[in-house]
Amino acid sequence: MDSALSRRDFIRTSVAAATAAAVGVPMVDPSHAADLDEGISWEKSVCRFCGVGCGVVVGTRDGHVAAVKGDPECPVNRGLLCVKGYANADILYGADRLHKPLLRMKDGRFDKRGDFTEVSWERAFDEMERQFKRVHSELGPTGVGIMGSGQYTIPEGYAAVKLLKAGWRSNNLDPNARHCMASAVAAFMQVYGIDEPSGCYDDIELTDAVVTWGSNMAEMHPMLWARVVDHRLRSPDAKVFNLTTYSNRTSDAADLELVIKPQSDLAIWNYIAREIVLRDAVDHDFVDNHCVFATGPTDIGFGMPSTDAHAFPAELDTLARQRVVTLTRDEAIAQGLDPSEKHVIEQRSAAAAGAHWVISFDEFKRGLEPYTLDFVAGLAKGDPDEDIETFKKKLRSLADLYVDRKRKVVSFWTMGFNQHSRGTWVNEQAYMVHLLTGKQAKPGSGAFSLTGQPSACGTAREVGTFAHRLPADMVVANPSHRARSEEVWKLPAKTLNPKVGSHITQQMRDLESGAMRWLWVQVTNPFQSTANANHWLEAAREKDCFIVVSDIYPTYSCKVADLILPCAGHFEKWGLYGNSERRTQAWRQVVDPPGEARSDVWQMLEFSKRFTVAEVWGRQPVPRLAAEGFEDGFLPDVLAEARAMGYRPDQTLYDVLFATETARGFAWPDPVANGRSCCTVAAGDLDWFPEKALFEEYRRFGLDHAHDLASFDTYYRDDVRGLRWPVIDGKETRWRFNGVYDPYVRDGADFDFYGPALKSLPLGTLSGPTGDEKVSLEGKAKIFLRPYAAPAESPGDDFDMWLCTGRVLEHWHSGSMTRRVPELNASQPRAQIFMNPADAASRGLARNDVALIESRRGAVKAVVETIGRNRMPRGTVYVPWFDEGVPINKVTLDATCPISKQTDFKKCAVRVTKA
Amino acid sequence: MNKTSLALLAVVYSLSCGSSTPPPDAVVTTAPPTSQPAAAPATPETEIGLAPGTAFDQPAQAPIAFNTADPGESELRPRPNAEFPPAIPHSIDGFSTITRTENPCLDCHEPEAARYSDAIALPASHEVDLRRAPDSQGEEVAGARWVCTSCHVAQTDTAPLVESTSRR
Repeated sequence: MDSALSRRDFIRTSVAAATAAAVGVPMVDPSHAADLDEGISWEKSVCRFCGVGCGVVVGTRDGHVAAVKGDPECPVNRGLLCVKGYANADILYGADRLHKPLLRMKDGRFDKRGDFTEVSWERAFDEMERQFKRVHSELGPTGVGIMGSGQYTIPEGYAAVKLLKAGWRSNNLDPNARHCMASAVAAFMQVYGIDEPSGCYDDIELTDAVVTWGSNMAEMHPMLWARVVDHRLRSPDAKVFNLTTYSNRTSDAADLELVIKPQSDLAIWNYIAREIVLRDAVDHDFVDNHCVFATGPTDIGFGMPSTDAHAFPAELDTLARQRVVTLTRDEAIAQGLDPSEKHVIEQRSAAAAGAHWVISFDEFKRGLEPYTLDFVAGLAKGDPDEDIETFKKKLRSLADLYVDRKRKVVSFWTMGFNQHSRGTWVNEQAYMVHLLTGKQAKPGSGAFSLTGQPSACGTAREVGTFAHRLPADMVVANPSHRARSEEVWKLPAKTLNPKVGSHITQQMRDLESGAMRWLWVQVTNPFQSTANANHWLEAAREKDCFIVVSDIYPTYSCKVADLILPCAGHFEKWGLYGNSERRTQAWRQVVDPPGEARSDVWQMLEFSKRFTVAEVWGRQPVPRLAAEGFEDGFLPDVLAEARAMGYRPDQTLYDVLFATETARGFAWPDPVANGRSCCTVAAGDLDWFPEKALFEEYRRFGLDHAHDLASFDTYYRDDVRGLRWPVIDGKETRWRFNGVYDPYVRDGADFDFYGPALKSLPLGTLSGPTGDEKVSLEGKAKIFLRPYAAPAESPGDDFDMWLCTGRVLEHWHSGSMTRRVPELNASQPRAQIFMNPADAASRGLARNDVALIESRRGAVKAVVETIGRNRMPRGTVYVPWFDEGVPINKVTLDATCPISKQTDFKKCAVRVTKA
Repeated sequence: MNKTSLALLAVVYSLSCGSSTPPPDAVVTTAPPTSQPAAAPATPETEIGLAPGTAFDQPAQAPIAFNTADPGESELRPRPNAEFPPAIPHSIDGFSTITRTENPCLDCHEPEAARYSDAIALPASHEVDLRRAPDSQGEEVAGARWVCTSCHVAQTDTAPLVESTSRR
């Protein structure tokens, strides 16, 4: 018996035997506190935090959010919340809420070296406008940008897209969701031709096995994990397996834990696929009728800068791998090459990493050949103290789950896959195994990407607040998609910019290089959350740039801002979110924002009044723009056509984009408000309802486009707890691509992977395409062969440990809200470095000692934790990123998946010493 | 700009575990801007946010004041509202983890066990399966509530970083 158990037994007996001797005052039964609820009025709402999308009931009293409880009517969480969820009421009430705009000033003028000085909104917008126009006149639309969020409400995200893309004709809008699930998106588009999961949470109660891959659901999606545990406890034959790089709370309740080496997931999937083929567990009918095989280039780099111009000297060796890679022995074997030879590979396909082509089943099988149990076990075993035979047995058990034709399987993953320098590949490999076995798009079976943020799906993805996207899965590079958007938005032809903008990490690099010099940060904290942060902090403060941060609290990003704008918080505004299972949910404003805090929607609408059509719709420079029908390097002057459409040059973007005749038709007051107010309406003194107008216009993009949403009012009905799109004739869709459930499936088809994107491809072999002729893949899903590839950076002599970063249960992202809730702060007061006790001891460190964590890029200090929720294998440390006192992203590496541009926050090399 | 005093913070959120050491995590933060008619209040960037100093400084670290109280040796802390799950007032550092088959919390807090100990019994609400049978009282803890630590979290002896205005 281990010491923990004996301690517990001791406590149980000693407490039971010694009630009379109990120390302290009498206990109070915490369930009898109902009197505290007196006078509270309750209304359905949505949790502010993660991608699970729990329904909450919010209670208000005297204009104050008094409490929040789980909504028993919401199918997502059925009345329960995690500890963060219950803190929804308190996140609005940190004493340092921002009440007024703060501008850096000295002697009454804006000064980048000045202190943050309270100013009026008028003064704040004056400076924003002056700085914008200064930059815009020098650099054009690409000199400005917005960093947005997977926590944007749908109307907020839509307003941002429209202002930036239609108004300013820039595509430099990218959300923090790029860091969160861009790899999932890229894989959805490449495999299915349409974004977002085929299944839904109902799969949990219907499945025979849950496998979590790089997803610590127990802490990061607690109420979904509650459903998994609940199902497992009542299903004796069900299984739960956890693949992870360290032991965590998800391991605790699992049947089997596999501690794997970082990046080895790529090899493990191929081992499983090889077993499926060898044991003839392929669902041939499903594959023959609904799938094709595909692959792509492997010399794609790591999404790092292609220049050393701004590199720290210590970064040069890692950065060199962006251009040339010498394959490791394992990589050579994995790619079918002779491991005794040296393979030096120039990364020629870095700029076209997403290219792919169709291969034969025989080629696919040939690609899987190297992934034997012995090879993969040696490559993947993540705990140096585990016996290799034990690990092999676990790998075999894992393959057995997927091979078993009778077993329904759900594979969940989150950041372990998405934040991965081959994130798109590893997402695609999950679909590879599920499609091969026909365990996809069926009740109880499916590879299911869990998203991290509350509206990463609903806003960032569906609305399209990305540098390359438009609403409803459309993209700026596609002429017909631009034309469709220009039609809905009533824009002159060629108003929209065809050149993809800068993704969020590139926007940081643009600040450093001077390519972007005006930035508006909304609903995110990028200077805490972007990897390799020392570069970006210095750029923000030392370069000629103007940075606006809109937030409800003074965050780490505010420290390096030039202007801080105070925002309305969650329950202080109207909003809609879309969760991981395509469920769109809505909430009303129930309290007013404090002081002069304003909704993000109001801020964008109000600022849009500062721009006339003539200022932004003339001929504009866009460096390296090259698109059919466009002059190289320029957007055309569209003012003549605008005039012909009835727009006057002196009309503002507010007039032509937001306060349109149609929009003003959504009158305020509106019966849907049920007596509640709207802070956007109040601040703007409006007689129309911007949030509803924005949503109803946005909804037009998705109708009959396989993204159908219900009307705004539907989501606010008392009997509705969100609906999973596509919503057809008032009915939601639980399993997409499945003829029984999805109205978009062709008549008579059992399955139809009808997504339209990337469905015309050349044929080829593992080595490359063999011709230019393209074949149509209408209705098909792609089964990708993707090889093992080593990470961008691995531990070596100077930096000898793996660093993994992530969240903790108690804190949301950068902690700006949750660290201001005393109970959450007292539970997790600071980010610790989780270490294996032997690693700590060999460095002279004990629990609660202060350690110095260094990489090629930066250093932070944190106290050591050797017990508790995360138990690390030797050689790996974990540091959460919620704590601005432990800004771990100064240490992390900004390598990204070259296809999705999502940063790999899960692996880089560090040195840990006693501070 | 007004500073919130440490003393006030300590009073507002009094800790109850008998620790005599001062809270190590208390940080002076900026108070909310107030509308003052005279010169507009100004705040240097070093006072913005939860970590003092500029973004280029390396914040100092001190040991975390873990709660070392054994079960029965501490009193419950006040909750922000009646819906908020009570925090775990004792240390769980040495406890085994909650697995499919073992739940060290229930060893004391399951109602039958609680009759023989001084532990608080989990309330009847926790024995209702809200997904499948929301209207019938069950006899054991609902499966969806099995992982107690998703809602009930342990507490260190740490003062709030910022005063909360939600408590009245």
